[in-house]
Amino acid sequence: MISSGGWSAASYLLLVLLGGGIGAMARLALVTYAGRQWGTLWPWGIWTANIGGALLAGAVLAVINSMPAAWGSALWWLLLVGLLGSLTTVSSFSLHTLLLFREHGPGAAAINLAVSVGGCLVATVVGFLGTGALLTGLGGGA
Amino acid sequence: MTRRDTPTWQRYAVVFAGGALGAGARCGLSLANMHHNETAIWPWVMLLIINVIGSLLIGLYAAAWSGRHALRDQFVMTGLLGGFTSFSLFSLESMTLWQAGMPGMALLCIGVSVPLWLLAVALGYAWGQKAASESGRRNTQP
Repeated sequence: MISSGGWSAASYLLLVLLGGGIGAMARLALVTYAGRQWGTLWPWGIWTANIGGALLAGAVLAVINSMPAAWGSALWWLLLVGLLGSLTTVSSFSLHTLLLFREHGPGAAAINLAVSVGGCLVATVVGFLGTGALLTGLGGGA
Repeated sequence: MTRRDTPTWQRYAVVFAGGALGAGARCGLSLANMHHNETAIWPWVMLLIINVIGSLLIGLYAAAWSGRHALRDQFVMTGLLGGFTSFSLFSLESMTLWQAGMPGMALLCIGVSVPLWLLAVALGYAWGQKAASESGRRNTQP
């Protein structure tokens, strides 16, 4: 469980709202940029947001685990629940998979599924273990 | 979905607002307390429900209402539902279950979640098409 660490529930909610808004704007920027650069057949922007967000989430969790509880809790709500929680999305992934299936068949849908699910899970583990090893190497690990 | 037209400050403003509200709702619905509580199954169940509801609603919205009002589409799909659902927290929870000595449970969670997201978006989309045709409006693709 999270230690309250002197932060009130209202300040945690504010951190989530702030992070959630920023994360969604960052996703919009990625999707807009990727759509212009590479078109909208494959969801390059959502892939980048989801896989990049999953990588950062693993890394941030490793950092939080090595921090004092009060500041770790603040980062937990601002970055993990708020910013990265909102930067990544399941709803757009689901909709794009459905549309790929309807317009381009099961193969295209399966590619999106494999890239998204496989990419996010691997990225989270890499981010967590890589950052943990880095922190241990620097002598700051738990 | 992605759009080719230039994003304006209004797009980012509505996406910020939608993302903040979506993340706040996710935070309110889930206990969001898996930190230092790795064996709890409840946060995982809540996130699954959140991601299934978000997938259902984006399918419904895309089939029934999208394509007529760009800012409303951005607010609902990119902001609200994008911020509500989360891929990074799904990845983190799966990894946390695995590391807590429950690899079978982690695989089961992944194997249950992904099909349910896709089933939900397909049901929502079919529901939206039905609603759109029953109300006599032209169905628009997102």
